[in-house]
Amino acid sequence: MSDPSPKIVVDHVTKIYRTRKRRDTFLGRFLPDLRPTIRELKAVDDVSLEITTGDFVAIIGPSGCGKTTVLRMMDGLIFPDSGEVRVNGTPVLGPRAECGFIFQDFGLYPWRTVIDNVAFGPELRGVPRNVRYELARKHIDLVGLKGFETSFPHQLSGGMQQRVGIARMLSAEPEIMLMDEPFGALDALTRRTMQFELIRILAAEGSATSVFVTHDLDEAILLADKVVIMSARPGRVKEIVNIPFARSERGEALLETSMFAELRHHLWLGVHAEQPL
Amino acid sequence: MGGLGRARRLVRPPFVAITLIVAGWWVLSLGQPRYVLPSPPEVLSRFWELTVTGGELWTALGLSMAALLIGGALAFAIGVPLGILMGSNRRVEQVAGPYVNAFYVSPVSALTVLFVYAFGIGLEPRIATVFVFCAPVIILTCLRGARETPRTMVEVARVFGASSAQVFLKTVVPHSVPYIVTATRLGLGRAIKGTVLAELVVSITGLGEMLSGFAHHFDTASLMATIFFLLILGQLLTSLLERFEVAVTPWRQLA
Amino acid sequence: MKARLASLAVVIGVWWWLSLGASSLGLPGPVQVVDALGRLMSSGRLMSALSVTLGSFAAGGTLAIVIGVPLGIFMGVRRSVGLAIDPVLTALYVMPFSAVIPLFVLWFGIDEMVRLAFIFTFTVPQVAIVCYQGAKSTPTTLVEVAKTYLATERQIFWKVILPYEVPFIFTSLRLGVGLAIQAMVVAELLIQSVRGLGFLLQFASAAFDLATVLGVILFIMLLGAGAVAVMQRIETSVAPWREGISADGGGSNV
Repeated sequence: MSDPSPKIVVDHVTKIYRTRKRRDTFLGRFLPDLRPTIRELKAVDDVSLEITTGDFVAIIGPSGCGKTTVLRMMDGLIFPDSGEVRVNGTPVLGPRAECGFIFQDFGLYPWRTVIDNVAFGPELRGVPRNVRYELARKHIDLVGLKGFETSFPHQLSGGMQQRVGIARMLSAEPEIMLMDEPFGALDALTRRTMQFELIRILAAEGSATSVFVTHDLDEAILLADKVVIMSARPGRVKEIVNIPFARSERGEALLETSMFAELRHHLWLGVHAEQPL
Repeated sequence: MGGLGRARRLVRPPFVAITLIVAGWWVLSLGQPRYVLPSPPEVLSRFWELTVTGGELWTALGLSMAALLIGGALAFAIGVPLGILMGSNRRVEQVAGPYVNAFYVSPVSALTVLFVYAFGIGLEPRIATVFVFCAPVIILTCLRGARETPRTMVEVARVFGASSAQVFLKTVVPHSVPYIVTATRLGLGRAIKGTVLAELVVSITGLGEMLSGFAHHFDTASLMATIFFLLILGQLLTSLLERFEVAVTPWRQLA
Repeated sequence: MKARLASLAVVIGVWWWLSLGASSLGLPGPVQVVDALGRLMSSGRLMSALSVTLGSFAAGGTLAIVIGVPLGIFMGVRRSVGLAIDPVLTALYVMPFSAVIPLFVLWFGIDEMVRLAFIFTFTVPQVAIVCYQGAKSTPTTLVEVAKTYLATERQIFWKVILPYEVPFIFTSLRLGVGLAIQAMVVAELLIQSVRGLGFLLQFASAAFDLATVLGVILFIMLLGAGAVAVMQRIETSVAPWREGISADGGGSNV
């Protein structure tokens, strides 16, 4: 675990969201706002993390603790107010090819069929149609959606839609997978199925570095090698818990072990203390 | 950053747009005779005379008010109950819906000719014009309010043993209140449009008389001042009612 | 459907009964109105008037769409432009449109030009506002997805914003057609012309030919409602993914 050159470094990062409230009146639309009310919200406060190659890291914490903010900064979707995020040793200045991102609300294009959604990344890079379709088919098969290539997203269930999301990320062949509550919008049973599916899919893909945000403790233990517990707003790193299970052990049976229960209890105590009413 | 941010805060985009429009207008007006395109200061001074020193526009507005208020009130009195009824009863909606929709999308201004035929050129045809202009939008907005009452709300009332009359009065009607306020705002906008049209087509009085009179005498500055008066009036009333909408229904999330 | 047909039958029945029973009203019955309309058609007067009127409608409406759609999209993409122009368009949209007719007559005379200008000015705000709202409401996730795949600004526009905008464009077309017809009728009523539908109406009205007046009014209103209904059909048939997006600006916007 002591790799000299970590894959992702989050270096003393702070993020403050500012919202300016405008008086939306008839004259207010035209006249200058001399004393605007600005609300400041410190989402993330002095967070530092190091993630090594091949690690699977889960970030958990109460809602609004800035865990999504940290993840989005890793892909350069937003930028810290102070501090720095480095991927492969260079500062993140915007989204980059090494990173794939999975969104909680899937982010599928409703006007694209499954295969065109999955082939989106290669399409943007100008990969010819037959090549990118072949790549897309491979990943559609992998996530178990063979036969749905020409369906539109609205014709699929939530679990299937996120399978498309995973296939789309894999088609871009990222070194780092960032997942923002990937199964948060699914029902409990589908979520459990998808967790095992993700384990299977990632095993087939070989080991990439993964970071995912969740508020499901079982999900964190089941999938991750390390769990980062963040405190309530402003988000700080409270504790990092190592999960000692090997990749091959991760399956149905693990859920019933006393080790698993102990870990869950430990995480629960950590998060519960931070949980607002 | 700070200085730029402050500058951006001081100069609002709409202000920039309006400045550009006025500047363009001014430049255009330089090469034109006054009766074609008067310059902004000329229109502004006429506006001042018509509203403050002379006040003719207010008098004209007063004359227009009768048709506007009576027609609008009639449309409200009939439109709100009818809309809610249509929204809560499928039968009524099926029967009346197509006609209301047809009136909503079709060019009702054609009916003014008929109104003149039926009622002459007095107050009545103008009231009728205002009515057909604003009734459909009021009906359709209230219809949506009643129809979109969430099923759970109705079912909760049922679970607590509410009769159908109680279900209607305690869930459907309260749920429609914000829509009624919206309907009033939209209806008012349409009513002003109907009033002005009626005053130009049906009988020449009020603001319509001002408009056609100024046009007749090639007094373009006054004509434009009157148009701006109407423009500002519509904007003010709309934004006033928008505020009222928010104040009346504090439980509603701003969409 | 049955209830609708029945209600239509009742409306026509009542009309007939009124025209028969209370003849003191001078109300012509359905048969007379259809007959008058038939005569107008067979004499070719309706068609020639219609072609004159529809000419300016088509030109003004097309111009409004050709300019309004790109303008609205541009406003949605360049946020500050949108913020700047939106209040101006809204003000135009809320204003009683017939008020500008006297001014437009001063500027453009009483020929085709004034109708075209009027229909254009009256329709363009609505078209642009709907397209603006569509482009503005593109879900941020959809844009962010493209960003994570390193899309350029241009790619985001062509592959995300524009496809998302398609249903809104069709909504704006439907509303635009409806408004253009309304503007067309107002122009016909307020600008003295010698050939259009408005003239036909005034002429019949002056001759106390109520059957013709009713016939032409019914014809105009059915034309307007029909055109909007056709546009609605097109709107719902386009874009199979539409179920995922609600682009209805119809109810509250007019």
